[in-house]
Amino acid sequence: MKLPTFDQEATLQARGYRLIAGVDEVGRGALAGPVMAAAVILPLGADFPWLRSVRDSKQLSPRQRERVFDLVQRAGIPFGLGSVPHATIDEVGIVRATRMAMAQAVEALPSRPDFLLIDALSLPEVNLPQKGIIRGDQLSVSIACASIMAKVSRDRQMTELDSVYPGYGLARHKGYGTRQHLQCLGQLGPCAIHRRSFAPVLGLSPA
Amino acid sequence: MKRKALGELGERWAREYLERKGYLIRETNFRCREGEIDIVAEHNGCLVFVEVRTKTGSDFGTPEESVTAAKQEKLVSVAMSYLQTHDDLPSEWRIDVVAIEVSPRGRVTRTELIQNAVN
Repeated sequence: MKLPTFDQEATLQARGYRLIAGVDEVGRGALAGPVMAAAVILPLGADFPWLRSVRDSKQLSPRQRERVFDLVQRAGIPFGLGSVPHATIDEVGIVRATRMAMAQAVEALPSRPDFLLIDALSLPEVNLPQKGIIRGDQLSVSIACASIMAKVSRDRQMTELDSVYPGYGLARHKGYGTRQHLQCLGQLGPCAIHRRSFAPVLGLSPA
Repeated sequence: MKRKALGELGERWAREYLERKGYLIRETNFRCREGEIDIVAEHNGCLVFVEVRTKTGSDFGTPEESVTAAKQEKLVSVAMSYLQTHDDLPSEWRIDVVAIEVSPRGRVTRTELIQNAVN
């Protein structure tokens, strides 16, 4: 597996961009809870030793992700978060909801970036130069970093929601369609934060 | 002409048209839970999802006008699903629309390629 690099960022820097934000989403495929996104602006020429351990959030353990999250915060690296709830996902569809979360994350940045590197998608409604990159979270350090910020934030929120809506194991699977989750869904029916428009939830009567 | 036959004629025509333009066809009629996409191709190092719209002159509006916002949303969903389930992909992708108008007798009267038609 190749590690994410600063290649994309370096190319953009050479073209004069200075505040390049990596943007990624998490929770698009989950059956419950929000879809969330993060945007991160790594400083030019950032040379923190821990940045070398940054990779796509799916390739890190929860502890490694928590560690990166804390280090980003402690280093004062600017980041923004966005969150769009299950009800909006049901209303506008998951792609639009995902884009809304990403746009929110960009808006939430303390300073306005001058370029967006986005995992897979483009954000037509955000008026900034941008590039969507397939597997961007595996290619660009900025996007990988955003993937970790988004993942940790959403995991924390799903763990909290587990105590509000117990019985589904939300703290464990974070709302994804694991066998255990599907089993609980079948037995209990969907709770208030399940995405009614998603196939496995569709047609089940509520708890 | 029947709707299905019209669609098939359009897709065949579009495929040849795109190949002439240098598109490399990866597959046709990709289906997943999110829906279907007519053609998946590569063009100048970019992955391209192609929606083919075929209409006879008697219909209202142009073929490309029939790609509604909801359909656009669906196309992006299917594209995302393709990206997730396939390896060996280029790093960029887009969605093109091929608009084809056919005379009532089944002759193609207009072909237009709209690149990056859907964001």
